[in-house]
Amino acid sequence: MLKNILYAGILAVFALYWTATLLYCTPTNPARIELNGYMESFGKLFYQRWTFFTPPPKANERIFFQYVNARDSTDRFTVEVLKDINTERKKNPIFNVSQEVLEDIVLHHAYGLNNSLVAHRELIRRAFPDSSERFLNAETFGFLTDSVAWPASFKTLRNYAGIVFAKRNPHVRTSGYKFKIALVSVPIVPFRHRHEADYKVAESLLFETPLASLPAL
Amino acid sequence: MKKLIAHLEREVPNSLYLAFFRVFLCFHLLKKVILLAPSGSLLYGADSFVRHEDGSFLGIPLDVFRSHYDLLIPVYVFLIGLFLFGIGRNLTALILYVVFRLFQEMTGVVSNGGTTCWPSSCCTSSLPTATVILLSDRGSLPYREKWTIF
Repeated sequence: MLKNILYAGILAVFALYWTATLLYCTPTNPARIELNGYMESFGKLFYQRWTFFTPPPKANERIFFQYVNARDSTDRFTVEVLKDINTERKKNPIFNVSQEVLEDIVLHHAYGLNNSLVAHRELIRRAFPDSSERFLNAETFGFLTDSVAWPASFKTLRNYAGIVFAKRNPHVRTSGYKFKIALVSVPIVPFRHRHEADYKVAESLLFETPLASLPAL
Repeated sequence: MKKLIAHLEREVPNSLYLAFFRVFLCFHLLKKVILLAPSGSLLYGADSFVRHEDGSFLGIPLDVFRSHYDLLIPVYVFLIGLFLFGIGRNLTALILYVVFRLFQEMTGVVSNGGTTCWPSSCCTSSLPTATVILLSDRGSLPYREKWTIF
């Protein structure tokens, strides 16, 4: 008998905790407003947020390949790589793992290149602590001008830039063109503004590499 | 508490569910292999455009494993099959774990859920030179039109 009361008590405590947790994590609603005082006390002891474990993405990234004719700078075009992959991906939903893998590869290496640039800048800053911001900014991309020092991420994106170029211009040789990579962050429109068609977002240019040659295909 | 531990040492109650979990795990691994196998040449092939960072697994360069991915995949599937039917017990589980880790190391470029960090999120830094370009209307991509100095 005593054992059953003990089990029921433990179950009741857990049930109360789970209910309070559910209520605490829900967006603002009448029940939560009514119990706001209790929720504050609960939060002091058992603070939790889903975002605590998985911060929601605040922005979408766009990866641009910009191509320019080495002899005629007016002959140039831009490709947003992820958009093309996404278009292909939507054509065959569920059975689109190959496009998913390709997207993962391109994104992984774009982030990798971003991290390499950040790390390289930090190395220069430590080696030359008195250097000016202007010098640092100029030198950050310095290692991308020397093919020996290219990180794997840049080599992969360069190879892919060559493939994208060849797809769009199957009869043009890549040797006549140069390219650069830009990573742009486009903030996600806040949920409360989702219906505002004229809502403005501020795009950020995370990096833009110097011009480099395309691989021979 | 001592009694409870002693009891658990004698017999594991509900051990049947461990078998259910093992079978679920095998189907999950099989699904991953079946879906990723067609992309094998892209991920590991020598003629792929992907260039990998140098790395090793148990002291052996990852490139050695990548160049033999077509042999490794059947081995992986075979081990999953053994584990599914409980053949080889703990030894199979250990070897399967090693091969699973090997594939994770080889396939680092593909996100496996929850490990991707965006430069604009909290866990990855961006360059201090990252600049706001301009305000744009939703859906438009002003960067596409913006060409900097060549």
